[in-house]
Amino acid sequence: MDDHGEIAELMQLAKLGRGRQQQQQQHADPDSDDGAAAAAAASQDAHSDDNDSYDDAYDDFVVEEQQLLKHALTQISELKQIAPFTFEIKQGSTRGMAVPARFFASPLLLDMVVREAQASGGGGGGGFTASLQQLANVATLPGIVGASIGMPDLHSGYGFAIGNVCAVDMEGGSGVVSPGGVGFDINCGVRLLRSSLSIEDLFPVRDKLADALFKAVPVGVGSEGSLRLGAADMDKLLTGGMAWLEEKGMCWPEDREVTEEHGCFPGADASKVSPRAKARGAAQCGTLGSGNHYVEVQVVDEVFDAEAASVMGLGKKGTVCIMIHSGSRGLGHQVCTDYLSAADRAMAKAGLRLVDRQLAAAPLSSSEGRDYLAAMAAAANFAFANRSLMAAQVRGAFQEVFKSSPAKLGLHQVYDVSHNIAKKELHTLPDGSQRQLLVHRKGATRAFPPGHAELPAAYRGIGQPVLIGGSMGTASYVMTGTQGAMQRSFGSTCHGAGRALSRSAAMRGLDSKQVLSQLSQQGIALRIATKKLAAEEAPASYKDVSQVIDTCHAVGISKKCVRLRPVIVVKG
Amino acid sequence: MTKAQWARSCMIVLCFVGQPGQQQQQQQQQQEVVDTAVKPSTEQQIEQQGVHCPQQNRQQQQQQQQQQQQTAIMQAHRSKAVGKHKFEYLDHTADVQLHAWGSSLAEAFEQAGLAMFNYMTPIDDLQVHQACSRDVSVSGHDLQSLLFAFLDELLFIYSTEYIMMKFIAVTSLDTENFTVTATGRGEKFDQSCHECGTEVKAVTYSAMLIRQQPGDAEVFVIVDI
Repeated sequence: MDDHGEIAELMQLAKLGRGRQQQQQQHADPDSDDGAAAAAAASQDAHSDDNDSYDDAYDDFVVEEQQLLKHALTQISELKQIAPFTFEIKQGSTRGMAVPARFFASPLLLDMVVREAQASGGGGGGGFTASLQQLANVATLPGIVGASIGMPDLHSGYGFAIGNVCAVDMEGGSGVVSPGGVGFDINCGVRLLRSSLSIEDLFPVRDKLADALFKAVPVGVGSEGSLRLGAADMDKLLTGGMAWLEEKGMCWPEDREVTEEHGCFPGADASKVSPRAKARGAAQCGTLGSGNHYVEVQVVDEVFDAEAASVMGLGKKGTVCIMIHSGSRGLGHQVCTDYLSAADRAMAKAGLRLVDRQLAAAPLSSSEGRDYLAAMAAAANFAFANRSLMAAQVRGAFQEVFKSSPAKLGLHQVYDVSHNIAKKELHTLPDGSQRQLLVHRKGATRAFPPGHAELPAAYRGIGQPVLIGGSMGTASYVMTGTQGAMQRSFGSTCHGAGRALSRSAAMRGLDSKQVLSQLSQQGIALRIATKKLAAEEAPASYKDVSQVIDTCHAVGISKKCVRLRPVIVVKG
Repeated sequence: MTKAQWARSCMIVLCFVGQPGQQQQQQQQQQEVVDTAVKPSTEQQIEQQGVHCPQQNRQQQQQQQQQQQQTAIMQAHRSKAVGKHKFEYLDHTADVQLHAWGSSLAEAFEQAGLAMFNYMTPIDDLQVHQACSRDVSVSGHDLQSLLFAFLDELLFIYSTEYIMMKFIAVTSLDTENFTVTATGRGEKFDQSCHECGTEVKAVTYSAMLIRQQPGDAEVFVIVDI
């Protein structure tokens, strides 16, 4: 643990934990027992060289956080702590687990997933599968190596948990690809643009810019993009991704250099994308969608790593930047639906029944598996193109408001990451051998360390920029990839805040009007197509993104670099 | 790769135990419902049955008890119905769980479709335009895949033509060959006059449940949003 787990971060976690704990009146049991003592010892063990000046606060941290932790651990017997902020669900707790399931959490985040597990029953009907169970289910997939890994923003999804990393051996012959393990929104991801503008330049025109962005970016239910893709163009876009847009002059040549996979997934085959999927995508390239997708104008609020921040052009506090969070729209959703149905049909024909049908998977060596990967790559290219077109719309809106060209305004792309994807990557296993793996990242971001060959030259010295979108009205973060991620999570880290409240619970407990006025009091201009969404997506519906970030940093799966504060939010 | 090989490599997936904790909890709650709601009528039933031979009597009792137990459970969880519709939205951390019911499976299917559209825009505010009437005809290989295909087809109509359905009528539902035909009527969504809800991305199999008994049916579907 010497390469991470910095005490300053622990202090911050301790403070966060305390604040929340008082708010929530946690049910901590004052009686100490072996579990708590062992957990506390494990934690102290790892930080035995603590600075004296932190002792008092650190003691508080140990007592309060460990009580929360101890309580959470007593709730689920299969759960144990194996390292600070690292928990394991025993192999065998769900039949057929080929590897254990592991996840990273602070005591507060652990408490949240445990409570989700307790709420998942649903009584006489319905109910959902809790993320902890989903993690364990994923550990049964044929060919999985290491562990089914949960990120700190872990919560219940469908099939896979959200914030779930699953690496499958591509060489052994038994591995599978699970369309559900990538998710319906293939290559949902985040793009960040920076600018040479500062917050002072922005304030006088804030509302005008918010209106211009809301007009320029099609959002919400029923929105259509300006680009109508005919059959031939659609195929070129699916095969070429951003390269095709560049030919058409719809994105800057430099943009591709700072995009995962250079904006074009290899192996994309448009013929493996069904006509239904193409029909759904025909009018949707360059549209945001709804739910948790957004375009935000943000400013640099805090710099934690000055060197890395300045390499990314985010070194100065108050710098204006723009974050775009969206995916592959209807096209990607339909690709997943089609191949999920195909895998489900094939399993039924073979007489196989799953407890969770959503986990249906196809062997990598089967035609279903190969076709899915080719279609997934095509859908991923569609998502890159989608975010590129929105970036063009954003650049246009800035040009209109600031009466200056996007190039003069310095609207360069910082990076573009994917957080719903399966990728072929070379990883070193604990025994030292190198293996070609298919890494499913469902709600997880790639976090490659400094020096990695896949990184653009500009970022090879600092590690891959990791873009973490917060929830509406809360901070977002830029982190950088680490060697720790390669060792602990197949080069992956978190993807966002992660939901804490269900949508219906948010609707019951939060009033959209209040949420809107609260945001405006915080100086955030919100443009939203549906008022209902304000409550569903309210900050209180999400986990505290800082907790998630600090946990990633403390565990060492990515390094905190810059905090961004929203000024304008545009949503469906 | 042959089918048999494919089957073998998927065998491990087959071995899930599911959610022991959850099942236990459900059973417990079912038991509670039985205790309070079903017991009195069972006693009554025994009195009425009087002279039947004991074995038959027991069998009938068991059947009836099971049926009533299920009815009680079904009724207990329809408390959050939207307006006069036979659907509600249940808690799920990230997505939305549709719960729809009716006096027949066909009606439950219709209501599940409406529940999906209603999440995207309030269907009560929609008009019906003749030009926006669409027929759907889909098939599956079992009941769940049929429901999945049915909802996927309705979502496809929205995603390509932006038509929102106010009414859905299932014209035939074959539960042996797993086919369904239906007609949906509504209008094209227009942001300037319709309230914008949240777009449904896709239908999932996650925790999907279809329950039927004479005179009653219900479905649970989680949709990705």
